[in-house]
Amino acid sequence: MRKIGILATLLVLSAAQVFGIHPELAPILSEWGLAPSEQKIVVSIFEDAESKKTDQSEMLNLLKKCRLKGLSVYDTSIELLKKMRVLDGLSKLKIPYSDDAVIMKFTVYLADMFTSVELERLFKEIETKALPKNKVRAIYETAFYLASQEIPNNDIFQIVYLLVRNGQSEAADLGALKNAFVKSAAYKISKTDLAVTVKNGLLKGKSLKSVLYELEK
Amino acid sequence: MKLYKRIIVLIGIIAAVPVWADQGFLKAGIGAGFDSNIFGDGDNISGIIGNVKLAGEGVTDGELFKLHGGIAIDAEANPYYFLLDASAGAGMILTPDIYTLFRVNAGYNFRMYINHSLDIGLIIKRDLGTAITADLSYGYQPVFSLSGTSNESVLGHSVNGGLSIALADSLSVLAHGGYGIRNYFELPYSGDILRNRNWAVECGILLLPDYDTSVKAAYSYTSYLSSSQSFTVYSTTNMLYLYNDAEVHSIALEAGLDIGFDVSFRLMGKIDFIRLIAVSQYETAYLAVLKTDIFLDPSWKMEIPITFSGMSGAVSQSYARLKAGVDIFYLF
Repeated sequence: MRKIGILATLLVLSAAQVFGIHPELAPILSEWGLAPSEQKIVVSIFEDAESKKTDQSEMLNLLKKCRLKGLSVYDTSIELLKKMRVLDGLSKLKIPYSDDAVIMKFTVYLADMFTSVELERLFKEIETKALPKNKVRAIYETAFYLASQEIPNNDIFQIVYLLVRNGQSEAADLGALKNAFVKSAAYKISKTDLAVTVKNGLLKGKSLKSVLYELEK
Repeated sequence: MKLYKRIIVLIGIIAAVPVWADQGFLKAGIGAGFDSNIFGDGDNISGIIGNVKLAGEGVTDGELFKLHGGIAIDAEANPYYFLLDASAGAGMILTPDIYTLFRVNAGYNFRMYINHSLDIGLIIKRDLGTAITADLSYGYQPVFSLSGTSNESVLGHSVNGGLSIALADSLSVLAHGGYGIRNYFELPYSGDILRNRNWAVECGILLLPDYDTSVKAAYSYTSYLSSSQSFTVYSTTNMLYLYNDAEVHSIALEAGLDIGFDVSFRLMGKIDFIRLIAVSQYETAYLAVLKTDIFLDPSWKMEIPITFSGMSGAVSQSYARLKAGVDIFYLF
């Protein structure tokens, strides 16, 4: 009887802890059907996030995704820790237009692709060039488009960073870049080679116009 | 039979190119058109033309070192003759850093009834600072005549070099020079073979006002020096300079215009003002090409080339020729 009493108290305590961290966490964990020890692993990660004042909504979304994907608790916790590190890194940065919900969501996606040092360089450049909100969105969308073309993340960073640095992030520049990827078969160049060509051209200080003109030759 | 074997071997290589390489490209097309002067002479015999084009290219991965190989077949038929141009080539590209490019190519070209040749080339390109790009190339081309009566068996060497200087984002100037030697080893002349030399200088400007527009205008001067001055013209091809010293002033214009994503126009025009020196005679050659590309989607492309060429000659036969067609390509 005494053992049952202790266990019940512990369960109530742990449930209270879970509710204390985030009201959505407990239902997810209970519906998942995890063992108490497994639940504890997940809860402790969220506790850690709470103590570091990390925004937990992105982590909850990730948790739901992991559950849908059928990942193990071990893999889920790795993913959560990675996300927490990304969000922690972001919280230390001065994010351009962080009050805009869409830009903030894009920024979190970007943080999955770039290192925090890279993000810092990009944000600084955006601030120096005083890019308006719509251009920041367009440049982030360009990064996501390049990611959809399976361009390596370090090349994507270099391209978007150099476009901002060289002052070539107008709608016409980004549209022309996208067109070049769509027409890459006609230029007889693979998408990864095209990304390297654009990156190297911009790195050398050439205009995107002349880099893309050379491609057509 | 020999020809069919060659075609089969070439098609086999086409199919193989995308297999061995990390990245492969294949462009296959079919088209039809009209030629107002099929023989390019004063008789003005016209007719419809049909063509088939195939090109395959493969490249290995690697930022520092790449191997590439490719093959192309162009076949054209009209009511009077059938022509087949085929070429296969391979090479390597070395980029020790982002500012330097070395490229070595070796290729074989076959032009039915006319000649077959080897093309060996070395290109070095180097960026000097942000605005200047220098290039230097050497080419070796032995050509062997197939007809037996043509005079086109020749060993050619050429060296070219130049600079492209970006003055602004939208404006570049170009300057090039070249020197070539052509030894016609099947044409004995005074106990020796016929040896020709030529040198050329070219300057031009390139304007890129926006992503959809490009304009390139160039002037070039070429001097042809022959070891013989017997004032003979063999054909209306480039043989005008074979037995004659000549100087040629050329002006050329290339313009490109894209309308949206799907349609692009390319206009190319060139006029050569030719002066034969030993016996002073003047000729003018014209060439104008308007090519319209229409992307039906990223894989299907329609090309509409319209070519006007002509010659107003004192020595060569004067003629005018208009060739127009529609080709549909599938891009893999």
